[in-house]
Amino acid sequence: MKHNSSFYSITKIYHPRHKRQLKPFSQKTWTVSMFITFLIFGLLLTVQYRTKIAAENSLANQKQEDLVAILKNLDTNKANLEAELESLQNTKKSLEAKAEAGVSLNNSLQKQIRQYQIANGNIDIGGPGVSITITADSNIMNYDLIDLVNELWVSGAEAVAINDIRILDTTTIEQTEDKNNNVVLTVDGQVLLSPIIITAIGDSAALEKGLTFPGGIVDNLNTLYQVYPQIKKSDSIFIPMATNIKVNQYVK
Amino acid sequence: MWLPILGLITGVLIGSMFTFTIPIIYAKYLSVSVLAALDSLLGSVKALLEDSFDSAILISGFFANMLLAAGLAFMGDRLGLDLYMAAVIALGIRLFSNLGAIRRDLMEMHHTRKALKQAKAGDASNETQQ
Repeated sequence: MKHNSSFYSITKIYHPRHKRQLKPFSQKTWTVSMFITFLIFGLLLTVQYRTKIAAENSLANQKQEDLVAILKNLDTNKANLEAELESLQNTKKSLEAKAEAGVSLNNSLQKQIRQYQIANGNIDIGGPGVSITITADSNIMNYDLIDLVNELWVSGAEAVAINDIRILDTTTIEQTEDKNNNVVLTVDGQVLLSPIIITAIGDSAALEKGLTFPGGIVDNLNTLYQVYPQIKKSDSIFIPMATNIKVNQYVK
Repeated sequence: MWLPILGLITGVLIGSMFTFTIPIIYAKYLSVSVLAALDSLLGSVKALLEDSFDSAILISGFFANMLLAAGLAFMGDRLGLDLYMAAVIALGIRLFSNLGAIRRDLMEMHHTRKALKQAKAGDASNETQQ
């Protein structure tokens, strides 16, 4: 028998199961919704996979041997780091000690420099001391000035100046005659104008005593030459730096 | 026709581009949701082959199933029961049944094409004969 109802058989076979009411609008857009759902499914799949990998690698899921190995490793690292820390701390301590030594050496060197500067007259200095004033009408000679200065050094002066000219170890105190044949006193070649003021820094009491003790220099000046220098103690004598420093030629 | 497969591949690519992970505590809920999504996808393919496809049902079913599965797992955690097992078993059953239906539909379409060809050949020979 020929199966001539082929068309009918096709339709019968193509829609065999429970055929629901078709909603034309939804049917037409099957591509969109299926695309969206498949996309979201793909996303979920990858996220799930990644999360599972992360969970497997997390610490809670490691085997015991692995955890013990990790722990041992961390302990060794910690011991190494602690040893390194200690050695670094020791280095730091030694460097600090060296720095301190350097600083104190620096300080002592600075002090020495200052001493030399004071001695050589390179800087202005101030301090307690005495000032001796000799008025214009006194007839003193350079020897008297030399004696006064010597007495000041003997009594412990640390710096001396005459009329603000610093007395150094090379200073000369001399006496010459000027144009009018008057006697003038010079210090390092500079003419001294009266009044002559000798300033000295040191222990004021000791300096004064050294100058004024009976039979001492001032006493002699008073009695023998009728020269009356006035001695004044002060707490703040200022002696300027020397302007007459000589350059060595022969010292090697 | 192959657009859904393309959508799947796109989704996988996008997922692998961004390193996006969920906190590990929620990993279990996510896995049940993935199972529910798979089930609703296969159901939609089956409906497509049987001309009973409905976009609204697909989309709503997709998200509703996912939420229900995650919700069951969450409740199970709180109550101390393995309620996610219920979701897994039910979804597994539906997966296999949907897959079987899809297979049968595809077989029928294949047979019908064959029968159509034979019928066409038969008609032609009939007509020539007549």
